[in-house]
Amino acid sequence: MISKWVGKRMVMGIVVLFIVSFLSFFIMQAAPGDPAAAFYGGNAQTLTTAEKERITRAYALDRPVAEQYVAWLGETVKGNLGISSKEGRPVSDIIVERLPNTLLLFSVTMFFIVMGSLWLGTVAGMKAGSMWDKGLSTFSIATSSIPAFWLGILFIYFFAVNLGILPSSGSGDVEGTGGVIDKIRHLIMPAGVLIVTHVGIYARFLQESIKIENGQYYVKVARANGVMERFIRKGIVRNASIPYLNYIAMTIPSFFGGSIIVESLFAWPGLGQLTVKAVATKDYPLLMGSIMVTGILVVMTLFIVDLIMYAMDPKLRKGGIR
Amino acid sequence: MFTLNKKMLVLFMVLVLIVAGCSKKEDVKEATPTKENRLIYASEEEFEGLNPILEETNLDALLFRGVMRFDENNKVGTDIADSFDVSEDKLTYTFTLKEGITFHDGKELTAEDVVFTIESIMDDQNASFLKSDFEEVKSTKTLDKYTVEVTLKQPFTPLLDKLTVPILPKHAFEGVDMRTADFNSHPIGAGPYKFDNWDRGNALTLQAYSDFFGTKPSIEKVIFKFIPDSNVRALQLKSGEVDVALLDPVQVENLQKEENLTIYDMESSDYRGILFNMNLDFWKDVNVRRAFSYATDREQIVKGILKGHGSVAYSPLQNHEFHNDQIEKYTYDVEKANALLDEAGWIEKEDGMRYKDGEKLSFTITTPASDTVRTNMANYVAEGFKDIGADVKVAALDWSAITIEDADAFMVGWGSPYDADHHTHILFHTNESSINSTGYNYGNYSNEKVDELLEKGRTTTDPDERKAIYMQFQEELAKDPAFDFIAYENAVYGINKNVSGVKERTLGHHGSGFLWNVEEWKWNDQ
Repeated sequence: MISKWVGKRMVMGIVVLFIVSFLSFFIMQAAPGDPAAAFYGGNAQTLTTAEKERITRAYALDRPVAEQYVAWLGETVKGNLGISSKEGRPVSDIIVERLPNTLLLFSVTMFFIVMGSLWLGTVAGMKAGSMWDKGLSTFSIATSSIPAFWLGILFIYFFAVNLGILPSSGSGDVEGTGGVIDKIRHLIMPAGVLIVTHVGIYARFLQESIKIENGQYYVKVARANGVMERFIRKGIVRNASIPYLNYIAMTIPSFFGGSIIVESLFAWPGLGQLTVKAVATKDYPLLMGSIMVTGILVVMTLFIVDLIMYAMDPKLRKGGIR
Repeated sequence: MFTLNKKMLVLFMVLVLIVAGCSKKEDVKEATPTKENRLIYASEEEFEGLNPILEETNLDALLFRGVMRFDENNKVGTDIADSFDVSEDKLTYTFTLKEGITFHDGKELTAEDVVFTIESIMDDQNASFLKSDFEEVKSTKTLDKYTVEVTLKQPFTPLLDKLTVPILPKHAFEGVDMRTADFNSHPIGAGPYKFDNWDRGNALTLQAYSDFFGTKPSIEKVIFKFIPDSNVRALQLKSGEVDVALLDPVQVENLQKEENLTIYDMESSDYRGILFNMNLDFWKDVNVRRAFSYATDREQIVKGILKGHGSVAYSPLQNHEFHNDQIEKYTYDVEKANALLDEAGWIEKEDGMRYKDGEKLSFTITTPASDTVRTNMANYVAEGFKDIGADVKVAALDWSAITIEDADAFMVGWGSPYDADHHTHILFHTNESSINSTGYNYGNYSNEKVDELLEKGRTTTDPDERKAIYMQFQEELAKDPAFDFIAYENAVYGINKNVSGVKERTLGHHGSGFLWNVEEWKWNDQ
C-alpha cells in the first residue's frame, strides 16, 4: 500500500520538475535583455555589436528556443548540467559548493520554526483567552510583518557592531580555518532572522486549529469522562497538526524565496544567492541548474511532509481523502 | 511528546554538526587569537574569474604586473621591462625585459609570455574586453628570450599605457580554451601577491610572494571578503571585521566619527554625463544640446546625490594634467537655455511644453538600474528639464536590456586617469562609431576638428605639443558637446587607522586602483 503511494508521489514529483524546467526555460528566454550583454556585466558599456554577435553564436543563443530546450533536457537527463557561461566552470561543481550551505540554513531554520511554533501554538491554543493566547497573536502579527532585511541590519548592528559577539557575514572565517563552531556562529544570525520572522505566523496557524479542535464535541466528551488532560492534549495536537502540516507544505516554496534576501544580506553563500546572480548575469546553464536543484529540494521536502501526514492521518492511509 | 522532542533535538544537533563538518574541510587549528598580519578588504561582489584580460578585478594589481606600470601620478614607467626603444618612424617599439622575474609557480617570465598576452587579447576567440586597446598593433614578436618587438599600423603614443596590461604565463594555457581554463580560478601572475585560496561565496585569500621582483610586501595576507550589501560593509568596517571598504556617499558622514578609521576621499577621473544620440534629429542642432547643458544643475547633483563627494564636470579630461579650465563650463542658467531653444525654433505652447513642427520636445534618458547614482542623476535632471519645456522620461533598465545606440540619450560613465587618448579617441572620433567599428562612440558623434585633434594627439610624442592639442580638443568639444557632462564621482574609502603606506592617486572607474601599491602598506603594530 505505502509503496504504491510512494511510487505515485515520485512520479508526480518528476512531472512537477519537468513542468518547472519547461516553464522556467521559456520564461527566461522571454525576459527582456541580451545574454551577450549580460556576459560583459559591468563592462557592458564597452561591448560592441560584433562582439555581441560572436558571443551569441558561441553559446548557440541564436538557435530556436525549443531546440535549445531539447538540447538542454537531453544533457540534463544524462546528468550533465553544462558549463556556466559566466564562470566557465561546470554548473554541477558550482552548485555542489553551495548546496551544503543551503541545506544547513534550511534544515536548521525549519527545525526551530517547527519546534518553536509547535510549542508556542500549543500553549497559546490550549489556553484560550489567556495572556499566552493574546500575546502570541500580537507577536505573530508583529514578527511576520517585519521586513527580514531590516531585522537583519538590526541584528548586525546589535550583535556584531555593538556587542561584537557574532560575525555578520559569510559562512565561516575568511581563511576557512574556523571549523564547526565557527560555522555555527556564522549561522546564528541568518537563521535567527528567518526563525523570528516565520515562527509566529506558523504558531498562530496551529493555535487557531487547536482552538477549533478544543471546542469539538469529542473533546468535551473525553473531558466529561475524566480522560487525563495529558492525553486529551495529545489527541488535540495530533488532529490540529494536519492542517498545520498542510500549511507548512504550502508555504515551503515561498519560504525558499524569502531566504534569498537573508542569504544576500548576510552573504551566506547558498543557492538563493547563486540563483539571483545567475538571473542578473543571464547565465542560462547556471540558472537552470540552480532552479532544478531548488525544485528537487522543494519536491523532496513536500514529500517528507506528506509522509509525516500519511503516518499521522489514518484517513489518508485508507485513501479516503485525495 | 516532550521526551520525543528532546530525542529529536539531540538527533538533529548531531545532524547539524555532521552537515557543518562536511561542508568545510576539517581543520583542527582554531583562528589564532593574536593579531595576524593580514588585511581584509570588503569586496562589493564576488568575481566570476580572475583572468585579467577577461575580467577586471581589484586583484589585478596584486596578482599581476605588466611590461609598464603607472606610478603615483598615473605616469607610465617601466616595470617588467628594463628599458625600451622607439624607432625613428614611431612604428616599432622594442622592449628589453628584466631577467630573472618569476611567476608565482617559479617559472621565469620571458618575452614569449608578453607576446602570448598581447596575442590572446587580440584573439577574437577570447572575447577580451581589452581588445580595442590593441587595435593599432600590427604584430608582436620575440627577438630573443628577453626582447619583444611591437610593430604598429600607425604611430600610437598611448601604446606604453596599454602595455601596463597584466602579463599572463603562456605555459598555463597550453592546449586549453582561455574562457574555460583552470587558470581563471587559480591565477598565476608575477605580482607581489600570489593566489592562495578561494572559498567560493565567502572569501578569497592572497599570500605575499617572497620572490617578487619589486618591493617585498609587508602584509602577509590580503583577504577579499565578499559582502554584497553596502550597509553590511559599512557596519563591518565599524566593527573591525574588515579593514578596508569602499563607501557609499551617504555612509561617509557617519563613519567619519569613528576613531579607528581613516577616511580617504579620493579624486577620480570617473565622470557621469548624458550622451546625446545624434541619430535623433533634434540633437543634430547644437543649440539644443547646449540648451540642455545649461539646464543641468550640477551643483545640486554634487551636493544632493554625491553628498559633496565629487565635483561638477565640464570636460572629459578634467582631473588630468592636460586639463583646460578656460572652456565653456555650462554653469546652470535656465534663461540661457530657454533663449537657445527659442533660437532653435522650439516654441513654448500653453501646456508649458515646447513644440517644433507639431512635434513635442520629448525624449527618454536610459540608465542602468543597478547603478543607483546614475539613476538618481537621470531622475533629477529629467525633472529639471521641465523648466525649459522638455518632457523627459527616464528608463532605468538592466544592463543586458540596454542598447545604447538605440537610446535617445544615455547616462554614460567614462573617464580615465591615464593617457589623454584613453577614453577620448574611442568615444568622440567619427571612426569609432560603435555601428561599424569596435569603438564606443555610441551616439555617432562627428566633428571634423575634434577628429583631427584626436588623431594628432595619438601620433604626437612631444608632451608640450600634445598638451596644446588636447587643450584645443576640449575647447572644440565644449563648443559642440557630445555629452552633457554632469559630475565627477569621488571614491571614498574607509580604512583601519593602523594601516600605513596608502598612497593617494586619482582613481579610475568606481574607485578602482585603491590597492595599487598594497605591497607598500603595513600594519603599524607589526
